[in-house]
Amino acid sequence: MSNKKPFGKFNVIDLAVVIAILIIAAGVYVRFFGSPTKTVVQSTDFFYTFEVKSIRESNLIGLEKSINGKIYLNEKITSDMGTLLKVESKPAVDLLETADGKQVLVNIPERFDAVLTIKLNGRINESGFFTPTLKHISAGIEYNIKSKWSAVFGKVLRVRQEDAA
Amino acid sequence: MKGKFSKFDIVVILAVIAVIAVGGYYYFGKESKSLSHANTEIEFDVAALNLSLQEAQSFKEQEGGSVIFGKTNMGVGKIKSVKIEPYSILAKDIINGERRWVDHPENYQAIVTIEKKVLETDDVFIGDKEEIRIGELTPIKGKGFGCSSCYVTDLRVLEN
Repeated sequence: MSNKKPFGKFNVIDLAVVIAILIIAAGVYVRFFGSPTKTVVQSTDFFYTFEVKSIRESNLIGLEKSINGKIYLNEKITSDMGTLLKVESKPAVDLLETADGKQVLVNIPERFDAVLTIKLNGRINESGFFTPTLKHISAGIEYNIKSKWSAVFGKVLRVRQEDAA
Repeated sequence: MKGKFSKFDIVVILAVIAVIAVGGYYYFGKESKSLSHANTEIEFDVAALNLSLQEAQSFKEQEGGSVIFGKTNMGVGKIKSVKIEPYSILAKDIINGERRWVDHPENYQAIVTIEKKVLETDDVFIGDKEEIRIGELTPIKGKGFGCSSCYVTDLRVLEN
């Protein structure tokens, strides 16, 4: 009588591989589909503003050329940070203590501060707003980001579900 | 029989490939690389700051030569020009309550303009696998000169 199993011989190595696959699959699930908390995560659009300070005019022009283009995290492993919708700029300012002890805001010549408005299809739960790779988008958090033309360092100013513009 | 895959082995292999593909897509696959111009000619400026006179001369002597740029040692471009000027420092005028750029009494800065044919996509300019954009840390080095903390200060697409 034949003693065949459905998939042939099932040895220890096969078992180890199956366990390894399950562990990898669980890791991938937790990394990409599990939220920092155990609540349901929904993928949805939200908007955030991002402040960059004291950049050159050429960098500002580069950001303006990148409007409607994608923004990415500018690190070794990159990820989607959204679509650049708007760039608002003004001459850069800095706090200066004068000889009489006063603190005054003064312009930095040839440099600009800018606020970028970015739309992101990310994830939202009661813990906050997240990029698709679970980078936390909250006021005060700093990132290096890049567009087609420009790379800048700055911080998140505000996050909303509705576009304020 | 030894040396042959069973059905179970094939299922396992496919499962491993599927898991790696899904993980790879979510981790690396978000950046669009859609092609718009395969051969765009650009020039970009890299600023080397706070150089001694000898360092600045080393840059100037390389006009027309080649330069390796970027973090991977793979980007090779041609130095179109090198502009040497006094190194600018952002000074504080605490009497008048101003900040202004002043020249360093001794040191110089070199603005190295590099020409390169690049791959232009919707998201990036890539020259020899090196991404080029304004504000990006872009070390440069060549024959007898180099700068490890240089930034791209401007980028222009050249008309064909």
